[in-house]
Amino acid sequence: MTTTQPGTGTPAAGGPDERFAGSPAPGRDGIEGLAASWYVALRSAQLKRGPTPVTLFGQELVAWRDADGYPVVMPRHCPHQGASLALGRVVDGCLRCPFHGWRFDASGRCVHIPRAERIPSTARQATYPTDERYGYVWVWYGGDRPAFAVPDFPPLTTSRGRYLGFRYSDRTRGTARMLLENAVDYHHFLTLHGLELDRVEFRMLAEPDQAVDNGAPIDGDTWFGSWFEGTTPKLSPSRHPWRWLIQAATVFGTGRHFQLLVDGWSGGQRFTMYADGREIHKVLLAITPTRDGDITQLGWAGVRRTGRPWRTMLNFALLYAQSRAGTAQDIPIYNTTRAEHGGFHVPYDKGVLRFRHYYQRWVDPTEPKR
Amino acid sequence: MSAFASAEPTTVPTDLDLASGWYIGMRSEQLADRPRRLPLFGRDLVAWRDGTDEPVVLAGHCAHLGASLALGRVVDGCLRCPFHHWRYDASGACVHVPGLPQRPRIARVRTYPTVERHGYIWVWYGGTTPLYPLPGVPALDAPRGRYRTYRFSRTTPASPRRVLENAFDFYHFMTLHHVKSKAPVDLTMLTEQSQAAENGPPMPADAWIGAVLESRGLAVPRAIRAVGVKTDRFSLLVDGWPGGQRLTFYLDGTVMAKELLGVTPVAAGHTVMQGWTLVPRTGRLARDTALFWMYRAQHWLGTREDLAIYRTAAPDGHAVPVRYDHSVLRFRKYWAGWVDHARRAEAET
Repeated sequence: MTTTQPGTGTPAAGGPDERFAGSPAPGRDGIEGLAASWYVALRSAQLKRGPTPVTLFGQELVAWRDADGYPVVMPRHCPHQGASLALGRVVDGCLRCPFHGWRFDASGRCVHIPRAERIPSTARQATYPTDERYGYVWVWYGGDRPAFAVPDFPPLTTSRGRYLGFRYSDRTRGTARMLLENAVDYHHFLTLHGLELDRVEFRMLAEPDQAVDNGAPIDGDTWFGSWFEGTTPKLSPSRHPWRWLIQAATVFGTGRHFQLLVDGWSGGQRFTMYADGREIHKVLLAITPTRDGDITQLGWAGVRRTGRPWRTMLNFALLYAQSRAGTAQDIPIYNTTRAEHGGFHVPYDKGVLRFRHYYQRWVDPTEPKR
Repeated sequence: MSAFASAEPTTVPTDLDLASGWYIGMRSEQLADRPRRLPLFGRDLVAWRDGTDEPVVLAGHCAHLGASLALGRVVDGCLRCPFHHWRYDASGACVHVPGLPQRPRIARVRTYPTVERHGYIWVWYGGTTPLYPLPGVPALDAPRGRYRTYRFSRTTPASPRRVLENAFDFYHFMTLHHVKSKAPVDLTMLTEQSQAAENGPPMPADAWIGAVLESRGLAVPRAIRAVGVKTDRFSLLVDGWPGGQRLTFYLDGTVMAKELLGVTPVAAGHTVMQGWTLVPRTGRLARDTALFWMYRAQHWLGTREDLAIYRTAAPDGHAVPVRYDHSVLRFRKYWAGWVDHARRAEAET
């Protein structure tokens, strides 16, 4: 559990900028090998004004909204006698403990104790930095100040109307690293997922600007990007009807060239998929690290509207089917893989190894780069 | 067991002190065309059948990124990893990696020697080469009709050693199992394998341990007398290797039942004891049926009494031995020798 350190906190949150300024660093010892990053605590719609219990990083926390509606995430149990603050209420923009009525403001400081003359300086809760975007409440793990802002994802903000999408959420027993390195492990698209592609090409991207199609560039230290492409073989629909159908679905019936742009940060990813250079869909991948061996991958996936409603609907149905089928193939692997039993690497693993190197920099308990 | 004894399981040892030997991995019919996860020896293994239908047991995770091979498929007699389709042959060598011009020569996963016999897949623990073939129970290969048989399988937190030393703890037959005898029950350690020929063929001398338990004043229950057993001479011949035992029960020199007891060390604090019981048929249906069910009932009741002790006993190691424990101590010494062997052999793999 986290410890509270008196006197080092920041004043109560006032404006959007100060939302990043959490009080004393909540511990980073919750989940072995988890990178410092932004993670999803819960859906925005799940957090009403009243407090809601959440478990993140192996710790029991409580989420609530302050007077301005900004989300606050802090340890769930009152520092007084340990009652669950999730049973409490938000009163005057402060969370009130159900047991003896202690009130905590958005910075975690105890601001009111009924019938007490003085509020002990140790009466405070550590809070996590939070943000709210894309319909999710995000929490920063790894210190009291986020090293970067939650990255941009236009389909859920500025270009919302141009996409037709759905949200997904799947629990796994894997690790966050496993879920993220999957995107750069391009060879598994061909084997586990059975994509039939010739002239496969994979490369790591050098500059965040190369991934600008995914959204505003992510800060260089934080960023990781890759490009994957291949060509579907020419097949006759009458001689290989099933294979023909699968590969038509692979490129959404648009040309023969499959291309995938991936970039992300230490706790999530953005994808754009193209067929013959034309954008077909985008995906946002985020993670909820509940505890060791209980990690949820979640996010949004949507097709770019084509201008022809029936075509958009067809693409949407194909994306939905592909997404669910792919997840159904990935999840059992995540659930049962023991990375420590592997370790024999071959040339096509360079993306995975590069990713692991990058990821480890965000795991190591040194102060993350800013 | 004292009335005050706690029914709560005590803490189990975290390390599996296993002896080198043949252990039951799983029942034969549990392994068909698809590979299957096999938790054994406290490890995560995978079992599958190769092109000739022989069982293969390998370390359960791919040498590449560690995916579970139990999710894979058998393709062309090789086990194919689900993740990147690396293929492993029965020796655990990686024989094919899609997307590479040639296979990586040193990629392999560990293989465990196996043999399929008596309806079980047996797995050798203690190095990569078995020191001797599995000593079988010939009675189980006898023509159908010679014996009535049944299988048993019970799970216990006890260690394999405790399960196997039980037969050498002759005193507990009188105390725990309430065997009544006018003359004292006595146990003699065997010195020659020929003395245990009734159980089956010999095995290497140092892998073998045997004893005979005898009583000349057994109070035979009335139900058994009713079916024509008029004796008070009872004996039990037990012999085995580290990992399994063969038993023959006699009344008045006549075989009443035989047993094969195998042990499956799943993990620390999780052992399965399983095997076969055989009761000879004499041709007299009513008598055979009565004896079969009486034997089975006493076996079930006796096992229940043992399991209650196993569930609640302190982990192995605490012992104030007395004179009648000589045979248990002999067994423990024999077992410890094979634990040492296993440690050395496993360290070399």
